[in-house]
Amino acid sequence: MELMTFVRNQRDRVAAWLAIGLGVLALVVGWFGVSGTPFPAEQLPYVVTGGLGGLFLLGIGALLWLSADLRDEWRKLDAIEQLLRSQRSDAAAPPPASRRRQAA
Amino acid sequence: MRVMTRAARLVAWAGLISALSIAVAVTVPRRVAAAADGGVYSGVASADGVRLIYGVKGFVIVDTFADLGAPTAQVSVSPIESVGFASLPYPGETALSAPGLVSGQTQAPVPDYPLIARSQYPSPEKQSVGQGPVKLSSESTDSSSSATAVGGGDGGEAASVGTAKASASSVHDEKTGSVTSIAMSDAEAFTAGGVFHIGRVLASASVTDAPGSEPKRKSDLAVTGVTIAGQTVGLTPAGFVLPGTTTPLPDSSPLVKALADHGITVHYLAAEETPTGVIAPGIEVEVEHPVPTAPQPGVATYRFGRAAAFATGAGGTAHIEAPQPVAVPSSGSGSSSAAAAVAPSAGTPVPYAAPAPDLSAPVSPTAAPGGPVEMKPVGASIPQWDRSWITASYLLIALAGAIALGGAQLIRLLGVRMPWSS
Amino acid sequence: MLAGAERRQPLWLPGDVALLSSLNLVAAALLVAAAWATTATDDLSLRVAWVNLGVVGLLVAGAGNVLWLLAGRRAIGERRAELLVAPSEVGADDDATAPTRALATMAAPPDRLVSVARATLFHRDDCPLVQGKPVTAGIRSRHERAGRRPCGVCLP
Repeated sequence: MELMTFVRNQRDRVAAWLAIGLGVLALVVGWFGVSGTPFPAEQLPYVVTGGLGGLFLLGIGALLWLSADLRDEWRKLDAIEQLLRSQRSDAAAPPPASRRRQAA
Repeated sequence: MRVMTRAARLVAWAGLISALSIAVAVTVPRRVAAAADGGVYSGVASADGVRLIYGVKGFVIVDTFADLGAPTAQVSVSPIESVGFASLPYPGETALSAPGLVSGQTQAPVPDYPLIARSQYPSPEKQSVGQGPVKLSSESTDSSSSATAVGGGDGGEAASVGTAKASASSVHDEKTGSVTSIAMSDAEAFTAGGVFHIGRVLASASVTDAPGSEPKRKSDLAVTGVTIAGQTVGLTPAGFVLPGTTTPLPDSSPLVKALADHGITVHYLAAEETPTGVIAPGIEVEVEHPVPTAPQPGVATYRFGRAAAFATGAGGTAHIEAPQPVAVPSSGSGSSSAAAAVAPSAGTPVPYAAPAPDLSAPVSPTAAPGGPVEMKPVGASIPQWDRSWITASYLLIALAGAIALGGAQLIRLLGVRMPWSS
Repeated sequence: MLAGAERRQPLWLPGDVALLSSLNLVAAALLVAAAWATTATDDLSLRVAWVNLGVVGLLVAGAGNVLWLLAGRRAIGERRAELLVAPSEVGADDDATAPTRALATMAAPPDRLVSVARATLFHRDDCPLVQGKPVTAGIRSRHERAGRRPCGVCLP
């Protein structure tokens, strides 16, 4: 249950590691294919599927990983804004109307 | 609304481009391959009754003085031409065209080279030459060619060959598109140094390639009547063996020493498969003899067998395969118990040396005198460094992946802490 | 103050999602096409050409991923600039750390700018046109990037 909760809460990070794992696997399998034949024409399909495909998956993994961090930061900004607004509503501050911008 | 419409448009365009690229990938390579292969069939067969190579190393500028097959039969069939020739020996195009050149210059009639029969569709479709024991014939139609050469003779004090035959044929079946090439060489009564004798060497190679299927290759070699100093022995890829045994004779054996004393060395040549054909196994006998004032002895090499056949059916593709040693079964009739089986052992090295026919240029007997037709690899030549380059590129790809992951981690560690905003 | 429900503003806009999806879809298609085509032909030069196409697909995916990350980074940067002040702008106070000083001396949060779903205008949070409606808040630059124009009634 904890694992499911973790997976649900950290969907993007789980997906990132999954993509990275698949990417590494594709690279390894592709390496065995490339090194297993002496003919360049037979190596090329492995370069595409294992090499380029693995790179694509690694890129997706890195994207999801960084996106997860960005989302965390965005949620922190949400919390900060919420905190500030609640502080403002509690404090005796000038009404928001006095800070209304004048149209240019 | 405007935002969603723009997003939907983006996805729609992406889907269209994706579908288009997949459709192109599925259809274009097959059509290009079919266009390249459609109608381009090829069949080549070549055989020498015995091939003689003579040379002295380090004596003059060239090491090899002669390289000729006697007799020789070669054919080539393709949409461009159908040709064949039988010769004893094949003297080379220079020698063949010399009489005409001399006659043109001197205005005096010079007879053509006599011991060659050539055919080419549509003309001349058939030609035959016969002089005593020499019989040469060649015939060509629009879809097939065949050539047969029979001859023999005394090779001199060092060695001699009795009778030698060579035949080659290649046929294109216009209905099925398949091509069948067959080559056969047969040499009898070879004697070297008065001590080494081979009764008969019979080699055959055949290949049939139908469109859309793998070429069916077959090769065979039968060596019979081998004696050393009158003692019957068997000849296997591992060396000479006594009748009824499989253990090769050691170098200290009197029989092997007898050969060495006469400057005779015998090699077994394993069969070779190429992407489009097969080269039959063979036997190579080297006979050394001293040459006055030469730093090294002269070497006469007699090569038996090595009949070669290649075929590419219409619409068939040239598959790139690693060469495999051909398991040559024990010869059937006509072989004695001594030295009939010449199947290569598992450890016999099979060098990839034989090229496949050049489909881009007509194959004609204009190559080295008496040698096989000059052939070039089908498709792109693949030098060894290409494979290393691709392997190195793959390692670079893997490195790029590691750098991408490392870079992402660096961004995570440093990017958040830096005033990085647009 | 708003009476209606309010949704949390997303980090990435639908346009960003569409762009990322499109480019990665194209990249994946090009890679699949290259993988298929290199096995469909025996011609070495043709195979190399398809490998090049696969590399192009990889570059397309890379471009899409970078644009996605930059869009997210920009949104965070803009929102952070709106919400927080730099420590140098805060008065000296030896007893407080920089973040605390920032919070303590923070002027009121910037005006909330909201929009109704699938609308083409953004409003102040007290604009009568959005009272009682479910809205999504966001900073000015976000609304403008989404293609919305300022409301002519509340003049945000």
